[in-house]
Amino acid sequence: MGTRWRVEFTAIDPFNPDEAVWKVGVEHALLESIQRYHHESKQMALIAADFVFKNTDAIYRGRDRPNTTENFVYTGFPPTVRRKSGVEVPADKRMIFAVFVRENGNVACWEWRKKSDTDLRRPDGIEGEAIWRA
Amino acid sequence: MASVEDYLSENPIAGPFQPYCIWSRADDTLTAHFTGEEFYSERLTAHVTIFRSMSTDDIIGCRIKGVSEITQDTPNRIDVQKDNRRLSVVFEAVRETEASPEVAESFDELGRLATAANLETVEC
Repeated sequence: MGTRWRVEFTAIDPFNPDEAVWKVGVEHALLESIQRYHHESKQMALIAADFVFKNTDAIYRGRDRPNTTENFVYTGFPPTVRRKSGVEVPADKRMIFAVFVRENGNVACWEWRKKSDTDLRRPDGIEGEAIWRA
Repeated sequence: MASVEDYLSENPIAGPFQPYCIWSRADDTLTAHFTGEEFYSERLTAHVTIFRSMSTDDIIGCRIKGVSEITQDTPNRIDVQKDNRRLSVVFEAVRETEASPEVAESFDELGRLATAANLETVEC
């Protein structure tokens, strides 16, 4: 299964969070698109995704929309944003980094979101159950 | 497979950003980016997430989930799986099916960006 991934991460297993790890990854086609259009900020944000898998603050279970397959949202607080030049700048304190993983382990997207007004450990717009917290 | 650090060192970005729009058949999702700035995402509705510039908060892209679901009942049915339609046309369909004024305002802006960029969707 893992051969379809170009980049792989080791995540907390959402089905057994206290005892197991889960291999997840980004498919070739998605990374090729980022390369083709020279989307540097998106590519460099993989570093933040890696940080989140290594320093997960919470995992939320959710669905994109009603009647769609479940996914898992891993969140964390990378302290810096690294740019192409190698320079690191402090991350925006209003933000939390979220990585969306499909049930099959595919990392679908990774991005910053504002923190929820009602729960500073939850990204705004993510309403699913918190199945694990650090 | 590679670690992130290995992948980044082996695959540096080699040119200036180009606006793009990707249609993912597997996820039934359309993703558009009009600038390469660092961004954050903001969920507007169950179907629509917009991308805003981290430095200016301007809208610079969007993700639309369930595109087939949105477009199947539009008067001039849009089938992005069979026809790489102009992005601005897809945005117009979303605007018509989402009742929220906030979505309408955001999609007015996205429509302007899409028209200026003259993008077609590309399947990923």
